Amino acid sequence: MVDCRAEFPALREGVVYLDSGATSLKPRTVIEAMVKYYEEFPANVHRGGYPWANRATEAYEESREKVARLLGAHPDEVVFTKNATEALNLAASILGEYVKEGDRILVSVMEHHANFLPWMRLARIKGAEFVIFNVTPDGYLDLNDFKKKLTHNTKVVALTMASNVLGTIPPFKRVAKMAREVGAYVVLDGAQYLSHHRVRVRETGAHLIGFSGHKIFGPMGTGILWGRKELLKDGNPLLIGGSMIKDVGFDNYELEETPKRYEAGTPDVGGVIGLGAAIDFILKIGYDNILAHEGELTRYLYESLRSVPGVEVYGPPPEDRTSLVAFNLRGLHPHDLAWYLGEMGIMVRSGGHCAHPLHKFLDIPYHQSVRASVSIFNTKGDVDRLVEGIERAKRAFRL
Amino acid sequence: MQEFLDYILDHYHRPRRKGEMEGAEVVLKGGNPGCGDVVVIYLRREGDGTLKVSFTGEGCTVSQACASIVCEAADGKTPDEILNMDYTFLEERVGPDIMRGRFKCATLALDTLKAAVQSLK
Ligand SMILES: Cc1ncc(COP(=O)(O)O)c(C=O)c1O
Repeated sequence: MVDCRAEFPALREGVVYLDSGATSLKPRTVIEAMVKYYEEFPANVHRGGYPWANRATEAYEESREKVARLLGAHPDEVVFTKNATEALNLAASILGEYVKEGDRILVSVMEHHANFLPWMRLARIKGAEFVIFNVTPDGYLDLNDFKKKLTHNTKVVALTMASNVLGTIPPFKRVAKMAREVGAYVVLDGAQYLSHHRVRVRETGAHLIGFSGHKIFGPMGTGILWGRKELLKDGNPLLIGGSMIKDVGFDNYELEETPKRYEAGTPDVGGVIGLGAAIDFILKIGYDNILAHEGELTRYLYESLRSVPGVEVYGPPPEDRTSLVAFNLRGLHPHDLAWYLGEMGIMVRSGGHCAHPLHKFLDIPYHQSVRASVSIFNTKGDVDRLVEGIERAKRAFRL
Repeated sequence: MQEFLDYILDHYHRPRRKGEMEGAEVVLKGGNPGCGDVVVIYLRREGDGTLKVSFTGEGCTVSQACASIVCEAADGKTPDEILNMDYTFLEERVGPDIMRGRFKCATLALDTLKAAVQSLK
């Protein structure tokens, strides 16, 4: 297995961080890249012609090229956002031009709110139908339900590439193919996927994909929207103002080309530079090694949790899921369990995980769960600590 | 901490003053389903100027136990006496760790109760 703990300054002795699904820890190289920018050439981008400004612009655009190479995309198809939520809202803004009254927007029930609410709102604004397709009771995408609901008036299909609760990796390529056959636009949410799997965006069949930079070892405040150039060419930006216009008159304006038209105002230059370093970090370790390490650890996590009496685990077996497991301990509210684990230095998340419809649909107790997610720096020892912590919580709460 | 936990568990498993109130003058809901904790406070004025207090709710151990702790203490007090109850009252009962780590859950019932009493005035 990979050993790269030493590369993460936050991993001090005894730290058990099992919440990479919310945000990944940042390797030293990412932090250093940001510090270097702030200490050595901290100027704004795309303005001024002096050396710092040129260097900042080059470094910022170099990160865009790194993202493009990672995804197999053209740099003009890579838009920097502050997170996946903004990327998916931007996707809805762009597709808003094409959705009319009476059209259908089809969204899976296991979406994170970030890939659910923008579509619900767009449907409301346009008078379109907002239709949800289901998962099966064991946590797989219900393809039959999807096929039934994929009508000819479907304009948008929105689907996650990996569920942040069930861990399910749905057959998103198949879904995208079917959706295209009826002429729908396909939007994927890659927030949970890209830290574990290489994505070649063109092979997915999607039109637009949102990612979180901060979940792939990049800094907070970074996200990515990838989109096909034909679509991004004249899309509707979320913000307008500085740095994104060709010309402004007294009563008219002309927007820049993509990607600039979507990056109004001063961007998070240091963050984007850090994101470039994060991609270097991932590629240095290699996706094959990441998957091998996390695959083994996910299986261990899943099986360890399932072996604890009273623990109920949600979603498919480890071979069909990404590196996280959501669960509940019978008789104890997830808040209480996550808090008690936290008191012991074991960091997991509890709540609805911004996926309330899914928790309601599956009728999970309290409509909430505890989630442990593993990354490249976690060890089996971390999982053992978690299991031990649950056993201690059971005793403390007299279960 | 175990001592405090046991105290909380006692209130959680054997809640005092839990149940809807007939003839309640105020029914006030606190918390939200998004965070998972809900406490509903019921109030009624008695002839001697004191208040009858009860609650219903669902959610985590801490929020529900604290509702029981707070309602048991508030029942039979005057509005002013209840408005004078503060977070030290809670901290003495649930301990500093829970107050620090579970502040929102621990204070939900007391905040809702005081808002309910305010609305009587
Ligand atoms: C599946 C999924 N989609 C979207 C998001 C939102 O990402 P962000 O916090 O970067 O906006 C998350 C994580 O929070 C997620 O897990």
